[in-house]
Amino acid sequence: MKTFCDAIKIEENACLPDCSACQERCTEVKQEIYPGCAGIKAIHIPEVNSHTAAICNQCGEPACAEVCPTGAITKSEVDGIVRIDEAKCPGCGLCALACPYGGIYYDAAAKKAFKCDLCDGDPQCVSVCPNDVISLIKVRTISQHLHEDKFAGGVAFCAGCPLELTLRILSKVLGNKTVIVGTPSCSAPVIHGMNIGTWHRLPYYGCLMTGVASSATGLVRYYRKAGKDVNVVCFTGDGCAADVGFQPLSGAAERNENFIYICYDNEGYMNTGVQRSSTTPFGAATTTTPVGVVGRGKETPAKNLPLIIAMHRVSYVATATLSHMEDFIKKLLKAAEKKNEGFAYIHVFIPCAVGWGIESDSTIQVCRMAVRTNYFPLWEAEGGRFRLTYTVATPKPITEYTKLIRKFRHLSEEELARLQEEVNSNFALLRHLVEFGNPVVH
Amino acid sequence: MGKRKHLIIGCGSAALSALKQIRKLGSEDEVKLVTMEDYPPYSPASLPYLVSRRVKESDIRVAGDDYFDQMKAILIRGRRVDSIDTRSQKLNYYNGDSDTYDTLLIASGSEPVMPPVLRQAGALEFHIMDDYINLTKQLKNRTKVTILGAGLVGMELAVALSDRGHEVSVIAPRERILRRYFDAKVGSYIIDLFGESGVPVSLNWGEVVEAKRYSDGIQAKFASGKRLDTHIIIGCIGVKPRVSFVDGSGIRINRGILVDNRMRTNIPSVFAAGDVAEAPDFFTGNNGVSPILPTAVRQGKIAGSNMVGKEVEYEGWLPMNTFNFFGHLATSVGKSTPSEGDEVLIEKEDKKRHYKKVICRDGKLVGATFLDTDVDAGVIQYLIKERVDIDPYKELLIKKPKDVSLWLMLRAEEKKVYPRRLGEV
Repeated sequence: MKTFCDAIKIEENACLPDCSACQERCTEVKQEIYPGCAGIKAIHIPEVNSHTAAICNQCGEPACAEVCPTGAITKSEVDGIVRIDEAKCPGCGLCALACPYGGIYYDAAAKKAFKCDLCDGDPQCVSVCPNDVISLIKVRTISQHLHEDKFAGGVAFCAGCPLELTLRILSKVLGNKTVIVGTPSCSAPVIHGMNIGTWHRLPYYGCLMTGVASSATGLVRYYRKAGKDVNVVCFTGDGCAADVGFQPLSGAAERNENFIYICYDNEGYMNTGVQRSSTTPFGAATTTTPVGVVGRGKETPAKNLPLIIAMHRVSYVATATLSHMEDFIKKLLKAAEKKNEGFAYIHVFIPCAVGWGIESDSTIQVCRMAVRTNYFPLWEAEGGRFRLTYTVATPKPITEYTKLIRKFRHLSEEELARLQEEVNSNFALLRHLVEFGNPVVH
Repeated sequence: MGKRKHLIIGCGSAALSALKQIRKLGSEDEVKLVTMEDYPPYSPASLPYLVSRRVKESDIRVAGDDYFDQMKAILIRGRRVDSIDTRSQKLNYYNGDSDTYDTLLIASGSEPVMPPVLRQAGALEFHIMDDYINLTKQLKNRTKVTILGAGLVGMELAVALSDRGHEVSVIAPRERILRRYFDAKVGSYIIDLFGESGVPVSLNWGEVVEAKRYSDGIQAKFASGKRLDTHIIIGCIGVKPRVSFVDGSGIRINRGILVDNRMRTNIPSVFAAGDVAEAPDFFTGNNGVSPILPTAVRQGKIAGSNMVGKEVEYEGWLPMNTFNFFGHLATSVGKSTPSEGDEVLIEKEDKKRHYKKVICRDGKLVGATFLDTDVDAGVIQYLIKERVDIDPYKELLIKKPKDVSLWLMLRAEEKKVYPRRLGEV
């Protein structure tokens, strides 16, 4: 049996200290089964600064069901939920002894075992979580949105580059009716094609960096006239979006043109030999901001491009990165919808294994740490209303991020402190926008 | 390779788990299960709950009527195996019939140990469905039940009979109870708690030397000189692998059937799993018998895989158990008593009879015992089996076993996904 099923996802270690809202809610909802039970457990260990929660994984091969002596525990072939038939349950506790993930709530006094049944599809813990740490991953909904992968296997990206997955997901989420507008960049070998042709089966329009947003404008207007609903997607690096192609981008944003612009931000001109761009962060070593006797890496902070685009009051702006895939997919779906109202922009953080000095199997880990340190917060703005789509309860110090990346390894403590300060002030500004720029509080 | 024929002796947890695994791996081989009992498949672990009337007989069936049809397997009930001819790969039954096989899985379970004097005097056993039926028949007008033996079966049965409303007492031949899973201290707490719930547990009775039946009960005399007069005696001294039919087959037996880490016996094409098998243990790799349900399920699964040619190795069995009595819960996973060089941390409250014990070796958890402590035993098992480094957190673990074990588990899982992740979570 290999059925996909919905699952609850808990962001690791992201809970508010002493918050047990999920567990309390579960107890409240399930008290008719028997008082005091809870299918989710809030874990607070201040000694190690850990605040998280644990819940049943609805395993494919549930260990609890395997050992149940009366066959009271079964995995549904319909919805994949592992349930306990209370009438058949003798209350022996073997399930709690077998489950490695703490998924069984066993009450020895009442001689009853209880476990999460996802509230039959509407888990109450999700709705009460004040920090959006718990979410229900609707496998079917997401897979409904996923179309065929339009990319060939073995594409010509560097090992470990998140661009490949970004493009595959993009094509799977946005589907057939997608036209990509691109430019010479890291993605060009694949989406434009190098020597042997393209590595995908989507229409592609190749421009100079200065022509991406304006060409897309023309394309969109053509399709509108032709009566076709097409996702026109600009896919460029930060060098095009923030520097060379910035003027047309800003112009298209100001005009609120109906297309999606995706900037994949690898913080520099990686394809041409790791030169700095205006999104290269303070202190980063590049070939044009070298570290040596005089140089200490880039001297100025990065341009905050997504905020700048948001200030154009466009239809939709979001940041995303691959460590938070559901978040990315949701934002792509939203962008596809919002582009009908106006300009939709997604800024995707793409660590560069080669140019930044990261182990090729660690790029996603760097994505995650960028989010965890608030270096790259995940947010979205709809028509100028800001919202954090993921909150970090206790942000990690920036050193947890910089230590994964060699372009930062020369930084002194003072320099790291400055970088930290920049992260803090950027995030404070964002917070401010979320709190005061948004008249509707969720 | 054409279809092969797998014969399975037994229809308990190990046998059913093997069948399930064979089908899960997509094998369409012929599978036939032969069991000596003539009941729909059930787990003996649920019998005490029938005694206590917590579940009904119809509830303990582990598989529905059409289960074997769905699994494309044949179940033969009420047939005893007489002998195995490993040379011609043939099973001989008591009724004179025989069956050939390509692979054989012996999952015949265990049988109770009963002193002959007691058996002659009409003492009961409690191991299989027939025993349960026999017991309930005799229970009708008799209320005073004595359980001889303080292992898990005896103690669980005592709780069940007490819940059913009978006057029960437990007498133990030796100075300890539940010695396989719990240390002396927990044992003494459990004895106290039993006493408070109206089930006296009395120690050091020694062997039975004399027993005789009279109209309304049994009288027995013990090596210690103590005498017993009761309505019903149930012998729960222990169990041993059910191997009588294996004699003369050339299959190696020590206490149980010796198997390697793929559940193979010394004879090619013969496997064994569950209570009957003597398989490598988790810590030392030495062979031993582990007559518990989780072990049977796991070994059955390993055997099933290897029987259809998918080579899977067994990580070894870990002693563990969970004992629920009168609203209390005693749990033990891994070692219950430390070996030399182990580090032991204990936290207890004599008044409340709360007890927590953690045994570590080289920074890894090797055993834990809990009495009336809120903790997920399965998570503790995970920490032992995955050899999670708990050294910096062991004091914390004993202080808050539930939260800390869950946290350590989540952390270890995260490390599995991101093996290169640096720094603390």
